[in-house]
Amino acid sequence: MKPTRGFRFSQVAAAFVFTAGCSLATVSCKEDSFLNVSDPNVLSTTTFPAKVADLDLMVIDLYGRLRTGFYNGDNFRCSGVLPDHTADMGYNGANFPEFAELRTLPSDGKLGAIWQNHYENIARTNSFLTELAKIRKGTTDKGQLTHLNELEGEARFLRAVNYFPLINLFGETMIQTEADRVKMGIPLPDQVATELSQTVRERATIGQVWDFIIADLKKSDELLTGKVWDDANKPRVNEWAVKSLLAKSYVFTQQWTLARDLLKTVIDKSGKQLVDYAVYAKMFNGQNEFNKESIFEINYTSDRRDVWNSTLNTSSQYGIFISPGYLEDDGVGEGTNGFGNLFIHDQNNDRFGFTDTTASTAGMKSATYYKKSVELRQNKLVDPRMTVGTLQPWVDSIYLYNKWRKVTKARGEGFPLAQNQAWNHRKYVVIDRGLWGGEPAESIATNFYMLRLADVYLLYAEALQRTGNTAGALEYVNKVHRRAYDVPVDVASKYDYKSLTDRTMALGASDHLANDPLKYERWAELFAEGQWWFDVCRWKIGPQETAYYKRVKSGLLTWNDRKYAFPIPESEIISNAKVKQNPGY
Amino acid sequence: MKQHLLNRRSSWMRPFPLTLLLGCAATTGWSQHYASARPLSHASGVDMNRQANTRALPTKPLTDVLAELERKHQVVFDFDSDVVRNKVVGIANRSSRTAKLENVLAELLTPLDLGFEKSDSRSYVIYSKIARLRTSTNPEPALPAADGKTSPAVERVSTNQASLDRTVTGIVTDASNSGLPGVNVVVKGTSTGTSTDNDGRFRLNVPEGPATLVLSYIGYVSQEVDVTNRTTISVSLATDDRSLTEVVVVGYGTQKRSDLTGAVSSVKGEVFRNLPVSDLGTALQGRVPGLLVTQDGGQPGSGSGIVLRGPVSINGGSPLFVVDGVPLDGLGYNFNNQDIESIEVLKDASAAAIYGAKAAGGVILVTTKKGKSGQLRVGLTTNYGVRNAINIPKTLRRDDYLRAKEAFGFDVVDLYGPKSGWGQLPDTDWFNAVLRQGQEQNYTASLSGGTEKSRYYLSGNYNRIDGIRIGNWLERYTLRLNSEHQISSRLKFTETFLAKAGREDPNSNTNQGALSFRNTPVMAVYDPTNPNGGWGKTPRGFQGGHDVYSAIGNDQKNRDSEFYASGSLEYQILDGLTAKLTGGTRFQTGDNYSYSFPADIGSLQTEYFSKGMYRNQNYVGTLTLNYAKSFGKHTVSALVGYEARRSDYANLSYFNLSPLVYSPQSSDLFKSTATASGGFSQGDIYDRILSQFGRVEYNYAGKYLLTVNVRRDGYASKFGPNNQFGTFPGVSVGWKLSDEAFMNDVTFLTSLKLRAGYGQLGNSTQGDFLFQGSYGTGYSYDFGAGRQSSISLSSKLPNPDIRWESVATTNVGVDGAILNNRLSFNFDYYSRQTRDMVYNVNISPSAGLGGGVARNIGQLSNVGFEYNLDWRDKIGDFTYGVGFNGAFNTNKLLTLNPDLGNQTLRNGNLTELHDNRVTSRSEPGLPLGQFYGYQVLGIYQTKIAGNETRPKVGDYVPQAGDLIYGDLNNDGQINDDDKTYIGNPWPKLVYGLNLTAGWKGIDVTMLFSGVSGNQIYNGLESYEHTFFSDYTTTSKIFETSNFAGNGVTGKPRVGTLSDLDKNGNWSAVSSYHVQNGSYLRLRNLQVGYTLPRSVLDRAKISSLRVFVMADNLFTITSYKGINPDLGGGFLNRGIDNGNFRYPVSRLVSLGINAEF
Repeated sequence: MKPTRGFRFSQVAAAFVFTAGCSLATVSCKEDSFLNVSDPNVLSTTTFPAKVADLDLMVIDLYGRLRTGFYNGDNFRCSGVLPDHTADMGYNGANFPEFAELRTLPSDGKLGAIWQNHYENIARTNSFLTELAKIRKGTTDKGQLTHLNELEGEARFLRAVNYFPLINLFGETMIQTEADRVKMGIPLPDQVATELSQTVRERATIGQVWDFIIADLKKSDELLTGKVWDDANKPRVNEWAVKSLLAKSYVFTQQWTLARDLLKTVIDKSGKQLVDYAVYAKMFNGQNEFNKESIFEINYTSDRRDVWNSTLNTSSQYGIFISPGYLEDDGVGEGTNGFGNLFIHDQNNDRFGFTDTTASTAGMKSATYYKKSVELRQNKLVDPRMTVGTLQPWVDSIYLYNKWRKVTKARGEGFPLAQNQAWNHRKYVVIDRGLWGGEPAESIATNFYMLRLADVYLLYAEALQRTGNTAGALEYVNKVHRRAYDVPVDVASKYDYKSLTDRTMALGASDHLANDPLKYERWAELFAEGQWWFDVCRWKIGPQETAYYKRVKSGLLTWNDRKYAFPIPESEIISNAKVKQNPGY
Repeated sequence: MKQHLLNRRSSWMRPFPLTLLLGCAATTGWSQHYASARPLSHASGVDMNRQANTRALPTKPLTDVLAELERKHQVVFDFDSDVVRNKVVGIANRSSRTAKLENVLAELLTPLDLGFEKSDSRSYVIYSKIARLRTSTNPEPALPAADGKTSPAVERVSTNQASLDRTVTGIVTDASNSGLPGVNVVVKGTSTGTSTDNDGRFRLNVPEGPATLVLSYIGYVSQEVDVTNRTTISVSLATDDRSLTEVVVVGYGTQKRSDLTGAVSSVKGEVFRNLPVSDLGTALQGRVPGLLVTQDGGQPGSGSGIVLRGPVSINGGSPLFVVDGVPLDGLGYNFNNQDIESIEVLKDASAAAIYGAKAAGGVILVTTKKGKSGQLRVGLTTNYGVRNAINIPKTLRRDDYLRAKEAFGFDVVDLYGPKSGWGQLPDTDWFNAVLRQGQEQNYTASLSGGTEKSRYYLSGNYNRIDGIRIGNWLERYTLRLNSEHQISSRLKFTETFLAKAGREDPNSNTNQGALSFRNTPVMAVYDPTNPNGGWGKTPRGFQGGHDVYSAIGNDQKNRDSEFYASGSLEYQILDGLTAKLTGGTRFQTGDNYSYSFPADIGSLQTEYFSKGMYRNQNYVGTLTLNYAKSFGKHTVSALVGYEARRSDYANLSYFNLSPLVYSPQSSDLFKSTATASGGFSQGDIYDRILSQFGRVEYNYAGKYLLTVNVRRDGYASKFGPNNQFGTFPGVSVGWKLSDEAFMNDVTFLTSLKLRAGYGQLGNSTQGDFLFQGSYGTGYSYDFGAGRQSSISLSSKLPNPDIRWESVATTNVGVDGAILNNRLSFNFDYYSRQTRDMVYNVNISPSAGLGGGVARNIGQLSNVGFEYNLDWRDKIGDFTYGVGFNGAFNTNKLLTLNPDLGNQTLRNGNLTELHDNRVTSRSEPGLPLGQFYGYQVLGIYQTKIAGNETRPKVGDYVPQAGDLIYGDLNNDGQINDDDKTYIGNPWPKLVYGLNLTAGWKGIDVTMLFSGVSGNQIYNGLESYEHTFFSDYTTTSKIFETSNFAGNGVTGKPRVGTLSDLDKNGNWSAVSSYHVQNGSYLRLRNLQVGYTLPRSVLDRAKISSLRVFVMADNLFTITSYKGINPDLGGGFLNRGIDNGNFRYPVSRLVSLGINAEF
């Protein structure tokens, strides 16, 4: 029997191999289940969304995406304050001179980002509306159906909010005549593509795009009328925001009667009113948010700072880019509360009526400069909105690192600013704490105003003027003007414009705003809020503006009518054979 | 029940004795198939038979059996006693004792590798066949005719046998001084010979007078020793890498090199000896024809890019690594290259088809060292070296910097104060501050040995590299235990085990890249008056941070560990039929820690803390059945297999700000959890592959060879249910031309084989789950009650029909050797056609679904030619070798999907200075990733004259000193329509040159590697010539046109702040920045000296070698950037954003190899 021992060993091994083989074979039998895996990190479109609560989760995203559109810090810098020359640049990196000089090329990265961000948001609203329609079909509960209506109203408004800047920035032209309506607009997807062929769309006409925006807003208005949000939902859109944007769209499409009537409704029925100057002066830096004047604002909150512009982070970084310079502890050094990439274009000081052009730090530090500056302010010889929109070196102070500190000239990061007055931005910058080393650092909670009553008043004034009511127009221009001068809004004052061609604060006699209070008020009131460039384009005052601002740090400004439209980004051109480039690019 | 079991057992048992004896011959051959190239493995194959005999049935010593036969048949057997010593034969079941003597002898002796010849009517000579084999250039000598006809060779034997008259004894050892058993020792010009015993000793009768012994053994270089006046000799045999009888590892098995029909390149582990520790890819640079290895950066522990035979797909694709039979996606720094026994690179589809999925980029098979039976061997290797950065640009120092800043239009007085004070400003050389001399130290100890049944190899290694950037270091410990156990005659267990632990400060926190130009010399590194950290503060006009603070003010510690184990059981079910079960797992885990110290560097730096962990597990289980059988001149072997693979990955991390304590280790030690704390975890990532595969090898008469491979793969995470499976066949044939009778007269030819193959492979390197639409995390929003998370449609256009890329390769090759193996050569020509390539087709951004949709969209062709020439010779004591390999490859994109119209693929990003512009374009009809931009015709020499017109760049009219761009469509505008192809990043030729020489213990090896015929887009030189934002630059700015009083020079102008470079001289993509990327680099030089035996014997040391080594000693190139060794993706290759590359360094080290 001796040899059997060897065999037993082999036997065991054979059994082992057999067993192991069987287990592999079992895997084989379960081939389907072994290979049936799904991505554990996401939800499949086959199972989500299935119910109203799922839509509640999705609509948060649609609001969150307000942070990636026009009011995203980077985008706002490029399309909000550089093209309209609110800002000049202290930084000579890429994507600054191009936007300030309006010589963007289709290949410029930031241009592509602005385009893409909005369309990504639009795709989400499209998907949301499609899924909502499906879920509505299976819903019978009345309360749920009402809720679905509200969700649809919100989504349609948010879709319009994304199409609005896109058509204004990239459409071949703004509408001035009926003929403009058939010019090239932008691609107008109303559904999410499910196959490649659906991703290739030609540009709808400008008229079609506006009709789409207006239809969305009308529907949204219908669905949201009467809806009042509680305090825990105050950033959500209500009927007054919808009506205001709808009326603004009528203005932008020159439908003056519709605009006038709807704006009047907002003014009369919304319960909104212009806030006092004291509130107004502090509403752009994280205080007095959701005030009586605010119609729709983007709610930024202090949040985690790990990744800028992450999907999770609900704070803003805009204030970092355009941060003010300040005097350091040693009384000599000059820091900047952020990057200091942008400063106030010097010509804006003139427009606000500031008569001194001192540019040297030594000059600004002098007592005479200080005294003169304070006097001009106190006597309201400069437009008070100058102090709302700017921080004047060696006159204004900000609070950071545990004390009040004098503001210095903006700190250039590439361009020398010795010859510039180099005032600092005030709207949307952080003026109450240090950003570096402080807590919560770069996490900036300053809200952006997308729609506020002063804008509505001025649009209303414009609509009245266009429909022949000059006196009414003048009154609404003056209401906004009076608030800035801290006098009762509805009572005539010594600061009033006497006519729509009265002298404004703009100093330069050749400044085309010098005798145009309506335009001037939109410029001054909405200074650095990302509105002026749209006004420049719809009024076609590019040449006058170029003549006024003359140059930016990177070079002389020149005008060419193609600049009324940004080029369609290269990424769209190369992947969408049906899209045509704007003329001149 | 019991009865039944017993019955079954007996039915299992029954075939064993029947087949055993018959199987011996086949098994011997088969074991040779399976053995590695090491001779001892071969010996073990023989031993296995012997054990089988011993155990299976009653045996008798061979000499007894022969004596019986002598008596019975009245004959005399002549044999050397060594030939039959210790040999036994079974006695059961042998053919009838009355059978013809020759038949009995054949049956008896063949399994023992013995032959016989009839020397006269009543006597036979019995000899070792191996000895015969060695004396013939023909590896397969004809067996003696069974009818006993005398051949001329036999005549000589008998003549010589007649004059035997003296005895020579000796010992044959290998390089490590161990006795080599089984070495054939033959008297030159005769068939007289013997083989060495287990201790390597032999004893042989040689004729009086002049005589020479020929000592030969498979896998070793044969040696001749003059024994005219000697009776004892001691010989050491050197291994022969090129031997055509060596065994190479192919997928799921081995093949004799001489029987290979696919394109397979082998690299012996010895060539990695003492090489600086780096990833395996880098170590292979210049060694394998057709393998383009690029090492973009010199970061310690960083990997390399490997492209085999050109780009396999627009979608990428790199070789699959298979270590001891277990597929792995990469090895990286974790692997100790000193443990490598051999590497095989399967290059064509006919060879790699057995690996199907993931094999389209080629397969690199790594076999690690196994133990050898015999005495315990202890090896020690240590080396220490220093590293220095090479070719680092010199940025401007203070005085030149201020001069250049002023000339560029900066208000230098405003920025830096009055000129009188400039001499007191700091003057810092920032590259000098952040770079240093690095160090590398390496210690390896190994232990190997065992018995014939059980062998092991144990090695331990410690490596530490201090990088050339301050604060950057890493260290690693590895431990490997490989062993093989012959559990029974039919069952063998093999395992490999690797444990690795590492720690690292990767120093990844930099200002703007590892070689940051964002510095200013007028900033001090340290400022003792700064209470907050003592760092120098950023001066006015500079916000770029502090690179030294970035490097060492940020404490990073990464730790990782890895366990890799595989085990296989191999069971011989029947003779020739073997089942093998292999299981393998790789388990990696690690954690990382990062803490930024609070500091004031002009801006206050927040304390920032993060910590994370990850876990990665791979499993593979493989079952194969292998059958091998010979029928007359037909030899067949077949393999079928089943394999399942799975990998899971998970990680978890968190970060926070403002800790309560310095350098916190816990997530609780923070002031606030509300504002910044956050953790996120990523769930498992699955990767599952299920495969069936098979191979049939057939050869006829050892001359006509056929191999057929097929594999079917199902890949769960990559392909949806519509197209989950792919099937990949491969077939190849070979013809050993030199074995044909009509070639007998071609004496200069040692061997010659023709090969041809065709096969298809799958490629699947795109992302996971592209076939499924999904929802994921969306943008959060705060409605007033805190942040709310959301769900959002993922940016993806799913493609449920996505399927395998199909890669078909045709390969024709020649292998051979001439001049008695002194020159061996391989040539391969191939054509590789890739179809249904998966690519993320750009979706128009207006669709809002992100960058692209994966589609199977087109065809790509690679055609190439490879050669490998190897010359080895010896002149007296001087041995030398020259190896030269090279590969020419041309890739061409044939089509893209017609649905896409004229869409081309644009890729490749430059740095911020260039606005991240796209450099490369792939278009049907051209190679992938061609540089695409403006054609530069020269530099405008003059200002624009009266009626001259120049094409405008936007609104800008170029001035003197601006580049002249070709206005290709003559519309007076330079825009996208004027871009054209301006360079090719793919080398025409990739080559390597190996030189080895040895003389009296001194050895020299040199490895050169190079590429030629490619271009590089030099994105670095713009930083070297102009001020971008607050970055610094080099003195080259003074060489530019119209700068600081220059006229027009050979370099375009950089402009000034008030007159910016609107022509894009230094930012637009143009041919001006495209440069020749050819180079030749002395990759490694090693000079060693092995101390003579006489010195070592006294110290009981077997061998001791001291060496000096230099890595990256010099590079010959005309490229103007820092380092021409540059890879990249397939669509965006050869783009040098040099300031973001960790500089490569030169290593010079000293070391010792010792063995006891």
